[in-house]
Amino acid sequence: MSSDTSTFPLSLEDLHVSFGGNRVLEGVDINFVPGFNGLIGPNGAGKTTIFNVLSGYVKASRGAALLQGKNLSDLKPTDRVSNGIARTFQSPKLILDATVMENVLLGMHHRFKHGHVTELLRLPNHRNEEDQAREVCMDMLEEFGLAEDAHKETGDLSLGSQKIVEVCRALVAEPKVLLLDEPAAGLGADDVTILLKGLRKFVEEQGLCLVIIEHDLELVTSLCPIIYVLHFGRIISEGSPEVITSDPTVIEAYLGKGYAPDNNDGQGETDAI
Amino acid sequence: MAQIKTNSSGYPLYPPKPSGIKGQQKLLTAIAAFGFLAFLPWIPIFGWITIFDTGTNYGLGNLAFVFAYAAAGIGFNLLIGYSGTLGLAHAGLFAIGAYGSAILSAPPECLEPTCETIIRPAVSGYGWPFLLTIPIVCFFAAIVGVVVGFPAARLKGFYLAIATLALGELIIKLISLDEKLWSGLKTNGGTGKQVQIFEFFGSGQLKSAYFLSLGSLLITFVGYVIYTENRLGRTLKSVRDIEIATGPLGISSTYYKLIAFGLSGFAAALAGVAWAQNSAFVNPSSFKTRLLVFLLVVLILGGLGKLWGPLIGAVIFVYIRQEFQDSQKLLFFLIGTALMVAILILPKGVASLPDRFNDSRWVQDLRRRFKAVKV
Amino acid sequence: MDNLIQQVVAGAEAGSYYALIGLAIVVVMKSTDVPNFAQAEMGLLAAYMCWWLADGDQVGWPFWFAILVGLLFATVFGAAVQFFLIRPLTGLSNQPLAVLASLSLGWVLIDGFQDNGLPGFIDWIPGLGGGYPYGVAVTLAILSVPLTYLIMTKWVKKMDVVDHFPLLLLTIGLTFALGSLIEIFFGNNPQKFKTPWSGVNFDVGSTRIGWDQVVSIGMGIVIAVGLAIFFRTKWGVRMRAIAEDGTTARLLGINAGVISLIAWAIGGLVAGAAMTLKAGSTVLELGSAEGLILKGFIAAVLGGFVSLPGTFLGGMVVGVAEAVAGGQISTSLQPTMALLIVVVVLFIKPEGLTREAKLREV
Repeated sequence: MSSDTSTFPLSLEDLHVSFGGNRVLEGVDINFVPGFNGLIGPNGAGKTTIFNVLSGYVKASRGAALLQGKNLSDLKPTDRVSNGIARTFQSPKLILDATVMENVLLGMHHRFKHGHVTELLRLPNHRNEEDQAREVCMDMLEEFGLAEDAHKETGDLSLGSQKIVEVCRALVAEPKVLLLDEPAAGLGADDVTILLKGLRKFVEEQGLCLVIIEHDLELVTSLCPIIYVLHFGRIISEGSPEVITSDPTVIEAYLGKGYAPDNNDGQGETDAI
Repeated sequence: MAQIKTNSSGYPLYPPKPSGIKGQQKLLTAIAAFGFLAFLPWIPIFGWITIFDTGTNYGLGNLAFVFAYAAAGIGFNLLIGYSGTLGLAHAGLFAIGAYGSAILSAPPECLEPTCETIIRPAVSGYGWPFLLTIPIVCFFAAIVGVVVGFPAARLKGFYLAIATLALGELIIKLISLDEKLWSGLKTNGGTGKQVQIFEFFGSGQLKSAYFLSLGSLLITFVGYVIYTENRLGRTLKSVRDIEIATGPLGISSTYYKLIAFGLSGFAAALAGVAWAQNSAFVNPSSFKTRLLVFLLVVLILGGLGKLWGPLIGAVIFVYIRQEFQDSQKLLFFLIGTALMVAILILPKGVASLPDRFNDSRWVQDLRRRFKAVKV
Repeated sequence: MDNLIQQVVAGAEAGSYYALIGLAIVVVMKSTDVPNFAQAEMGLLAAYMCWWLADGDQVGWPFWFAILVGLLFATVFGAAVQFFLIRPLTGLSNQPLAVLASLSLGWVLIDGFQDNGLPGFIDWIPGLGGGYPYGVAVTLAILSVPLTYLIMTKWVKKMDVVDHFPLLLLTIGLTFALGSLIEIFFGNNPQKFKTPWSGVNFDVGSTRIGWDQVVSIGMGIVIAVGLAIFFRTKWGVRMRAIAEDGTTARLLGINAGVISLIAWAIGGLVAGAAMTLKAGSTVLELGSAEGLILKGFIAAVLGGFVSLPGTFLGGMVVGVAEAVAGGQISTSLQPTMALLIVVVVLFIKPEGLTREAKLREV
């Protein structure tokens, strides 16, 4: 691959990951662009592993992940968010007995400048920053329709709302790349609409690069102009929704051999993964 | 009337508090409680409970112990309850406070022929002003606390507990080492030292010790509240509850665990200083594993992670200890059983009873019916 | 130089106690995921039983018979602790505990309602002052049984995924309670446990070695080997399966409850043997367990909580290092040696002397 990787918000170059003898990712090459990028594939294909490499939980055995050209393995896991990459989790990782606002404020952590002594002495600097941070968080919550719930205990919210809270937390960190792990799973239709509306705004206004792992094919195909299909750790197909849904290797991966590639009837129900 | 801070659309940035008195509930409760405790020596309300009868020296001393244990408990709470880190070296840090201030503030060695040679090592120190020794030992203990916490970077839960337990024991063993290896430290080895008791404005040794303990409780209390109500509190909770997500958020869980270790060390030492003043004598056997277990009992009985937990736990603990001081066997049996019972029935301590009450089915039902009636 | 050999032997003796306690801890930990802080104390109780049965001034049974019964007691007691105390906290039934607790409390209350047996902090509640006639006291106590039972079964939480911390605290509480029980029943005077080989020494060159030392070290090795053999038997393999992967093991039909019982029984037996050996060789006293438990855990740490040979070796290393450092360098160093070792090991190689890496999960 000779493309200039520094122009892409996020790139995976010949990424290999093994756990013991188990090869989980093999030779994954992707240049993610600003906007919605879909990442799909059957269970165990390695999608979440890619996210885990990007978060720093897992080390690549070969190859690299590049954030605007910068090699992520040069960055400690805790330094990655300040370089512009944030993520959500399959099951939301939130402090259940804290308020929604407090959870979202966690996303502001790397943007705070004042230190511990300032905090202890309650100097004006601390108060100002705290106020400003809360304003940012409240604006974000408002964007996603959760302003009313801001001071409720997070555990009291529905799973769908909790997932949106996690998205808000990731967005207040001002990332250039946002990784969403099954953001729509467990969300009702209304929540999905609100979520997508908010995300679209960030894509249009800031050129946010989104990588979305999803199982809901209908959603992915209607949302993402470009989709990558992962199967047994390799990319087996990539391209627009039309391209990948008519790709015989993709159909075979999901449904097994013997399905006619031009059969479009059951497309909407092919999310039985 | 304070202005409510909102964002541009008018949503409040902070949880709305009822205006006036009701909004300041927590603050007022705290002020009332501490004020009450401050006047207790002159108004022995609890005289009917002999153990806490502040009219007597016995009662004053016991209450001072309660405050000291509670202060240590608050520090412990920050570490174990709030940040979920199993750091069990607390007894060692407590000992640093107690021994440290005793050694530093004891009068310099008396070399006159009139001074009794036998007790000389027990009563001599560096002769520094007492009040100065407090911040010194506390900051020192905070640093030691951080050092103790270093394994936290690599060890999970239980293994960290063992490592810190060993380190805590090590500290205590180092304090009680032979003079040969530690010349100049003036710890007087296993025999212990007499504590030079500091008197505030001549109000008497016992009252001074009482107020010193109360003061240490106040300081740790305030510190705990300030830190946990803000950014640090959120961050510590994230380390406790969602540690795996802290990295991607830019939160270094190790760093914050170390902070919790340092803060808890500071609190432990402060409590230790107060405790030493009240005990008038320190020796290594007071700091054996037993002390750690007492602190754990204080914490668990009262309520892990709850603000008033340590104080409640300390009251219960000192009460039981004094009530059964004649039969030590029964005492330890009771403590052991209390701990087991606490884990089995009240894992979140006495302070969680209000919550459990609130959350229980029949209370919720009652509330629902009440609301329906109101409408 | 013979001083050194003597120290090494003494160290190996102490080391075998540490190793055995450590092995008991590891067996229990591996199979039931409980860090049993009370392991040494449980062993001490068994040791006291052995002494009580064997000593001429007490029950006075023939030596070997007394040992047998005592160790049997150790085994049963270990299983009992698991059955009554640990099960409620590991997702299994809490009924046995509720039954035991309510019956015991009722029994204690008979006394309490009669004289002033009830602790002072309750007697200001009207009606609980005590001083009731016998019949009334018994009735009240009997009434309390179902009440306690109900409270316990309603309130004692059955946790499915239990942290080590509450379990550790539970066993710490147990240690205290057991310690006082031992004191109450057996008094607090140190006792001399006379064995057929007590006091008999022999000389190797210029070193004097006691037979009791040889027995301790020998038995330590025998027990360790016995455990290794056990883990290759049918039940042993099942135990290892549960330890490796509990869910799969259960799916294969291995009964976790029975395994736990067996594991705790074994732990009780091994710890009992350790403390009995120690009592025979040194002295039987209340404080023995307190010093040993941490060293047992240290041995377990050195074995990574996973490897039996590693634990055994670890215990030996600590024992010998202690004795040699104490003898050759300074006696003050002795108590700190074990602690220094574990601290250094945990800093440098947290997985101990094993080959398996069991580090922090990411």
